[in-house]
Amino acid sequence: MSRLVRARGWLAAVAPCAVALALAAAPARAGEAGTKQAGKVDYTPVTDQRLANPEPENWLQYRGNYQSWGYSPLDQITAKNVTKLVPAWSLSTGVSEGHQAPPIVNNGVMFVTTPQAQVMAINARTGEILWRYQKELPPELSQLHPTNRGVGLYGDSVFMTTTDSCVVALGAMTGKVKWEKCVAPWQDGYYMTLSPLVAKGKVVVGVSGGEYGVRGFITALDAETGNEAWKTYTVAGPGDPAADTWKGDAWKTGGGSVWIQGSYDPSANLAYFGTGNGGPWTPDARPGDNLYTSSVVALDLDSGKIKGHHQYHWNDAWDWDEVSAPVLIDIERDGKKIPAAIHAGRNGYLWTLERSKDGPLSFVDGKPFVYQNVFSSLDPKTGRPAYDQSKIPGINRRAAFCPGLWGGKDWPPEAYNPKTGLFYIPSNDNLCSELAGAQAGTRKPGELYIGIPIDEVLNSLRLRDGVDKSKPFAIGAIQAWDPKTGKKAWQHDFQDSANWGPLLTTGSGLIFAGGTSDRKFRALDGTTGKVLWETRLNSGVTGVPSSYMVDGVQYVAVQAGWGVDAERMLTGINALIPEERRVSVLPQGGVIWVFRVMGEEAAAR
Amino acid sequence: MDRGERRARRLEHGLDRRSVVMGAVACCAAGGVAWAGPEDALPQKGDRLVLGDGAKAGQPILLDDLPVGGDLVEAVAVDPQGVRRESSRFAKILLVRVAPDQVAEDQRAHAVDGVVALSAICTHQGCTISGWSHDTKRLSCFCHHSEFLPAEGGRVAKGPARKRLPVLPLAKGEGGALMVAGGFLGKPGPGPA
Repeated sequence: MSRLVRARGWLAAVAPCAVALALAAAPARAGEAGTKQAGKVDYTPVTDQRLANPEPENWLQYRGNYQSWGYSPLDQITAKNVTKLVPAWSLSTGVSEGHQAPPIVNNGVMFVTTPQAQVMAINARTGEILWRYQKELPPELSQLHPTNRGVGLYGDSVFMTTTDSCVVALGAMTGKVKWEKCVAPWQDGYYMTLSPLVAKGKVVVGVSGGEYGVRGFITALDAETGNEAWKTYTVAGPGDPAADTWKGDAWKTGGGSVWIQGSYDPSANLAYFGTGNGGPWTPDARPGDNLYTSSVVALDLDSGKIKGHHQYHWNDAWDWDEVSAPVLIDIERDGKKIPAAIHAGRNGYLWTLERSKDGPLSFVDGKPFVYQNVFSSLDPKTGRPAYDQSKIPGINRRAAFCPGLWGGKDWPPEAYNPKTGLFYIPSNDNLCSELAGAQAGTRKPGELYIGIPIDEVLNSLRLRDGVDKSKPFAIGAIQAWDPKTGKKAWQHDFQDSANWGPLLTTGSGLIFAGGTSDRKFRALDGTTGKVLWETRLNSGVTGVPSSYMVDGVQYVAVQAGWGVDAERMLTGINALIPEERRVSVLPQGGVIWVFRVMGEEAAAR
Repeated sequence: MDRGERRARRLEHGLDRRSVVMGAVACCAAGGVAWAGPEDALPQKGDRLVLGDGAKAGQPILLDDLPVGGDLVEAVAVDPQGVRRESSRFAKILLVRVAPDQVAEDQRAHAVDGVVALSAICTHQGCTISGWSHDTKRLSCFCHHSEFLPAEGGRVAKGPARKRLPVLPLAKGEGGALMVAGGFLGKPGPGPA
């Protein structure tokens, strides 16, 4: 029996409605859909229905479901047997830099993206590579954030964004390019790192480039052709109802980048995207509230029209992107049912908003989850913060502020577990920043445009006043909050290390996460916060963990591969703590790790 | 022609062939503008240097304009016909000036009275370098905090970059004008050490 035939055997059993995944280099043809062929692996097309109601054994998109829960209902790996977790297989990605994408799994076929515009399709049970695609990036491209956060799946296509600001559609069966659409010129500072949100035949993506003075936008492409369906700017320009929140031409370079996949509510047909801070960083360069920066926007998926928004903080001065999409949870608070949108902000506040079917979002509450000294108060009705003026850096104005540039929670996503009822946050505390700005000057396409001298940025990190650095102190943490009460349930701290670990939570009440500079990947009890298992991997783990099941065996998968902002922040922390406690060597290089409980596979058979 | 120059020529020629092909692919794939190829795009012997930035952009750079301990200067090479070599990011040039005896001995032939010129493109991920500390004698990159020693042949002082910044040999022209004495001593842009 050939290797390929064996591969077909294991998948055919779990994929009743499947197309053939050709392992040979033959190009895919539409006519192959729905067929099974000898020597080929079966592939199950991804539909709107499946994305809206993902099977427990699959992880079909960035956060597992449209609501961005980061939750797998699988419960075979438990608090009792997690100590027997062992690698099932591992795979080098062949590249360095920040590996942040989740292994996305559809009926036994795994898709993983890496830095440098690479995607691999892998047999999720065996680790066998089915195909690999590597886009040739422009030789002159500069990459401020060489990373990627995963594929989108739809039909028999796989979608990936690239740092030269393009979207590529590949055949899931072949890895062959179906279409490629570049949505903005990389020469002008635009780039893309997010996983696409895919729904109703549209591939919805956004652009990065806030540090280069771009004007952010979200665009939807037709999944079949790549043709643009709509494009909506996240910086209000002339004609937009919020245009008066900008003065002069500041909107033209206003930032508001979008670099994390949005959440989606199919019943309301609304997509919820978080947006980045305004550009340049100095707030006095762009007077006004600067809508829709540092906000959540609710977009009609069909038209792209902004139907509602909530700005977490106005006229940002602290590089606090609020790009993480809100987690959509229906909660009960004080006897009232609330369709909530919950977001742990880079600004250090945990925000609870109420969604509506028509789009408008209303403020429920906001409270700090780390030390925050910028907001002096929140308006009780609108949630609009008032600022301590001494904490606002600007042009020729120095200020220190907490949390620092990387905020209370940067991009690593939160998670929600309907079984424990808790909302989990990967946080960072006790770090602040100090900055003084300057005139940003004339913008040059593709060149840095932040209005802060380089040395200021590179040396901006500070310890919170009162922190005794002579002994280990907490920086990173995983926090658990109860959305029903708005109170914190528990917190697990990491000493002398930030936490850059995206969270996975499971039906058995576990949390899986890496994120610390000791290269460890851990399982915690989601009810108590107790660490139940940990192992040290090849590099630091900033990848989004996922979980899936093949042939009755549950797996937990994650990419290790330290880089980008986790590495930048590590450099800053090393400058703050005594030499003997520094992590001075944290090698890069990506590896996909897949774990299962030892002996469980045999038991399942 | 010394060994270094021969090596630089070889590198440039290698870059020519590869980059023209890669540039064409990148062009068509990304839908962008074709890259003109380094033969015309990169600084050449006989070019003069002009200021690339600020109120005096475009004016010739004279030695007297560059005090020891002064700021980083962004320069553009202008060919004998007066055409600015700006079609490629890889043509970007940085100038710093240190005391002449602080230039490493094996680099002095490429410097003019302590002025050294280097590629402005970080060899890690291709960002434009814009930080300079006269105290530490290091250039620094915002993107991933790599640091380079311009007076020591662009050697890496701190990663993640592994490859040194290519030096652009300089000569002193009429009236103290800075001139290009040869192509970059290495391929500009990201690459293996």
